Amino acid sequence: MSTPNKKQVRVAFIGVNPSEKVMLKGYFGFLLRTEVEFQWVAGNEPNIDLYLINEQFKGSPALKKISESSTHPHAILYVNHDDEQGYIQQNCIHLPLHNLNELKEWLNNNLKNLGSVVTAQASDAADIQTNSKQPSTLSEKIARFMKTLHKRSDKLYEFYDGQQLVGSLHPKSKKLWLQQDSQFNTEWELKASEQAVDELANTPSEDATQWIWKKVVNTPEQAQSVIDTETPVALKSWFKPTSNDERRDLVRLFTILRKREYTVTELAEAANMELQRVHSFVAALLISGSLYVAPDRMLNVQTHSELSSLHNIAGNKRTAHAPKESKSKGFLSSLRKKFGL
Amino acid sequence: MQDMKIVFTGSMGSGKTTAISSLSDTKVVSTEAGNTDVGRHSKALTTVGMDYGEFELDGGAKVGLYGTPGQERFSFVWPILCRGALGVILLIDHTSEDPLREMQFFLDTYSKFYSGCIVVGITHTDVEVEGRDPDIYQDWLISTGNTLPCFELDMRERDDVMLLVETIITSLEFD
Repeated sequence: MSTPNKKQVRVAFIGVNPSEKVMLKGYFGFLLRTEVEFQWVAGNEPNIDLYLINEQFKGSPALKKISESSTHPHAILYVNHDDEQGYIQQNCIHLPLHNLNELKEWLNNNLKNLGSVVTAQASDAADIQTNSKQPSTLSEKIARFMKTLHKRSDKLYEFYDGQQLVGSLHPKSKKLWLQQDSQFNTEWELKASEQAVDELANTPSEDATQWIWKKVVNTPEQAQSVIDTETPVALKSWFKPTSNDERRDLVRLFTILRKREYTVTELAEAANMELQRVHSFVAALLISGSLYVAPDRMLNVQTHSELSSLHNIAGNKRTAHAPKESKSKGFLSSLRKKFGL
Repeated sequence: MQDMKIVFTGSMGSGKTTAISSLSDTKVVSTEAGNTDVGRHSKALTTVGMDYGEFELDGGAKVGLYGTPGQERFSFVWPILCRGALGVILLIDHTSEDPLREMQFFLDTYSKFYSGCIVVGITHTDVEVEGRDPDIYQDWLISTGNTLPCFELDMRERDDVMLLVETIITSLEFD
């Protein structure tokens, strides 16, 4: 429902990771909270005013198709994430942004729909400087944590929980040398260590991926802040369950995700599992690197019929993923019973 | 040949016989002989025909467990064994001469005649091989956009064997 006296701006994210979404929504909200009602919509919806698109997809045929098919006047801002500098250049925002004035100016120049609204907010924004050295949001920290972990660099990192040193982590070998225990939270951070990996090579270590998985899954409330339930995720690689309790559910989720990308809500429904449990699993799999945030579904849509099927998720298409019925179901149940699965 | 079966394939010494033994209700029938290919693997005996085991379900239905000979020269047998299989378990010995090439070879070969569920198990990853990261298999699958189930496993551990079986059953349930 729209709010009276506020301009409506429809914004779609394509391929932008959850923490960057949070950051960008924060920037937009700060700049225009009193004047504009932002509607965050999927990339395949009509009348979108602004697309925020992962820079990696720049120039892709699917994006070209979206741009060409949209008759509504719209602007595109590409999104990149740099470790150091934050700025806007050539319609690309490099996060975290140093100075919100840059975004204000960009919106002024590119979003006709906003007109003077941005200007009116200018004085508020002028003094606001975000600090790229010290991340301004918690999710920004966890995004950096994930990025460093997934890069699989051959360097040793110090693993911090806030100010507390948890241990040393070597992303390439996925080894973790624990100094003290920690529960998952968005204060987790990896900082380059001056120590060489070889110095720790012969000392006992943990499997970092399994350790992180366990910690994230065991703190569901924190885990669920990593990704919302409507962002589509896709399967990158399978993850070995740590316990038999998890085995059935994890294998079920991976099997379903092999077919296409799913949001947490859709996945829970397709797997016939509790939403909260699926949400925690997905968050843990994202952090441990088995899943990735999928580019917007529109990117994968090739034909009208496929598009229809995506829109019809709750319909017949869903039943295609439901466990088999009747005779084969009986056989598969016998197999499970045989091995106590 | 049993109508319902699970096929175990993969490189020599990867644990196919061990895996079948842990699932079979009967003593596994193996056609092993002295390994004349010690350059490829140091094990003394290897499967030259095939391994066979089976288990029985409630109601009397039997599921056959077939282990294919790992050597490429027996590849003519593979399509025959895979016909109608519930699933194929591909085991790769991380310590063999060129395990990544073996995995690529098996996946490429099997894709030509089998379209059902294939699960990959990488074995012996507890043995450190200099310059060989256990992640090379996942990395290769990711680089080719292949989302096949692939796990590091120890075939002596029943839970690891069960993970393979669970994956096949779930795949059939959601197929």
